[in-house]
Amino acid sequence: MKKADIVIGIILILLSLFFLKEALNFPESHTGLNPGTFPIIAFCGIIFLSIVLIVRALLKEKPKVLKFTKKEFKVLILSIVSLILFVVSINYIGFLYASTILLFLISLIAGVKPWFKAIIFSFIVSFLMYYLFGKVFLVIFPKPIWPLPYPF
Amino acid sequence: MEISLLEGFKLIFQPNMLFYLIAGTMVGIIVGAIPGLSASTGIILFLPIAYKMPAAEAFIVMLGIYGGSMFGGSIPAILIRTPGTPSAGATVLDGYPLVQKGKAGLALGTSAIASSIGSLLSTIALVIIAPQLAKMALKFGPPEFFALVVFGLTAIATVTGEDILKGFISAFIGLFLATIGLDPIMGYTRFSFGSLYLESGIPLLPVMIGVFAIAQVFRDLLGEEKGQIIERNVVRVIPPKEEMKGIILAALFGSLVGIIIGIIPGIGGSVATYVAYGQYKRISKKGKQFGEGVLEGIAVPEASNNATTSGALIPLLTLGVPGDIVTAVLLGILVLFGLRPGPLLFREQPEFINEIFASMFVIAFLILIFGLISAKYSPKLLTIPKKYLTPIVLIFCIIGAYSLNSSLYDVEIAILFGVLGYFMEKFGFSVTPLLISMILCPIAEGELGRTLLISRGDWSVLFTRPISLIFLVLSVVFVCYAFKGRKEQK
Repeated sequence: MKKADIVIGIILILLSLFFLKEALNFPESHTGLNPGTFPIIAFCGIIFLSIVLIVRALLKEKPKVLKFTKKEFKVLILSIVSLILFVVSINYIGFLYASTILLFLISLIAGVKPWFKAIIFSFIVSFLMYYLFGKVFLVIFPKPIWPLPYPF
Repeated sequence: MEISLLEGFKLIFQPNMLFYLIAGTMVGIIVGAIPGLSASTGIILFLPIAYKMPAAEAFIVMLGIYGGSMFGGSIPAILIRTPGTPSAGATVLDGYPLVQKGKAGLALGTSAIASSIGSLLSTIALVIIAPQLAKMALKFGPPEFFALVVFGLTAIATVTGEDILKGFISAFIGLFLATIGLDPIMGYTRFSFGSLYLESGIPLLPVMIGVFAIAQVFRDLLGEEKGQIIERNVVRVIPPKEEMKGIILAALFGSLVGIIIGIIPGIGGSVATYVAYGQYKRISKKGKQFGEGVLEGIAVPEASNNATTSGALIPLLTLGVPGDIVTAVLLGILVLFGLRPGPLLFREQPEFINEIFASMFVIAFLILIFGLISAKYSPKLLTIPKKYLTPIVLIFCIIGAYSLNSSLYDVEIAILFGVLGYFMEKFGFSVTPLLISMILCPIAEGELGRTLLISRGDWSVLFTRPISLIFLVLSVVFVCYAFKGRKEQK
């Protein structure tokens, strides 16, 4: 955790300085509470505490070991990519297909085997969800702009 | 006709009225249990049916949905770490650790009992002391609101997790995130970088869904919490006698906070839960164990969020001032039905007021009955193998984030904060201070701005008004007390 704390501290300080520069240019109000007051308090707080975090990490003798294996990293990246794919594709193929694909990918990552079981599971769940929320609770889901068959 | 609770019970104990009350409460519990469907959404979804009903019947169904959803929100908060409603955010803190200990039934049972106590006590407050308390709340100006919110923010000192330094960094990040969007006084756009979405700020519910639920999905996919005990057959939902005293005391405290905060317009259930949780953590003997899975940690927020329901009805009915989003919707509905909320409603429609008073009592008992029944059966959700449950939870989260505003932007926010929440906890940063800051800081900024507008930039007004001064002094005392407690703990 020692290295991580130092890296996080530096990232937080750099980001805070970037936003602080913008906050310092906000207009002033005659009341003394400017649009920049609360953000400036936030950035000063983050910068000060991050410096303390870095100093503490440098002085710490026994850092807590942070485990992050290659396999875990792969699972995390695949999950995030699946979610990004869902957000990007939903406007083109609609909620039903996008959620089926997302469910399929996530169930594979979660360990559903064999793949056709994952397909059946994804279809059933996404159809049920679509019916429950779209038809019973009247949530208006994005529809496909591509000419795809849509059940409801 | 005069205002009489007995008259109200006579009107309520008719088969059709009881049916509406039961149906409303059950729908409320289900709506609350579905992440993303809040009480206000449930009531709005019910509107097309309500138009076809007489005003009193429609209104009591809505009250049932309101009360039921406050309890219902705790079911997914406890079982899958997903607050069903924003008011159930604090319930996650002790609810989920209890599930991991194999005490899902007891956690849900405690939630049902505390919710019922909260509803019952706040209804008594509504009936007996409504006009007096509403008069007092009317005297609250921006300085008092600001001081009250500062008092709420002191809760951060007790929920920073193991690492107090990282907890405070998290709180400051929350403060920054809360300032994105329009400045409440001058209307100046901050940190939006030209995005119309960012101009309206970062929506709270998707953030909560992200940092609590989606982050949990990542942890489940990575198999980080293998030691979870699943209570397949719930044997016990009612807590043992020796724990009951503590739970009732915690529920009484939560109810009191919930009633007071419910009455004050514009604050609402989610603030009440965090304020009550933070303060009770300080005074309770089990305070140090809060967050690790204690039943009192569920009783406090659940009693307080249910207590805000009747509390919020006090200014709504007596002054026509809505206390939170739901009562704002209810206000609109009353007007639609041709009723005028305010002191005149008590004089012109006493039977309507009587029905509301009596039905709130019945709802408190219905929450207990349906709550205990659902406590027995809803943990069966967890018997679904995790490899199937995790994708289902993820899709629920996405729909929950989307359905509030039918906006994909909210889904993106939930996913982004899911990733952020996962990494924050991985690196030892508690996400709770971030959330408390995000909820309370915008209110604090708005109220401070209004205070300084009225006082023409004179800050001393915060210390010269007695109620404001009391809250500020209490805040300092509690922060010192929290730090002292931590030192002793070490």
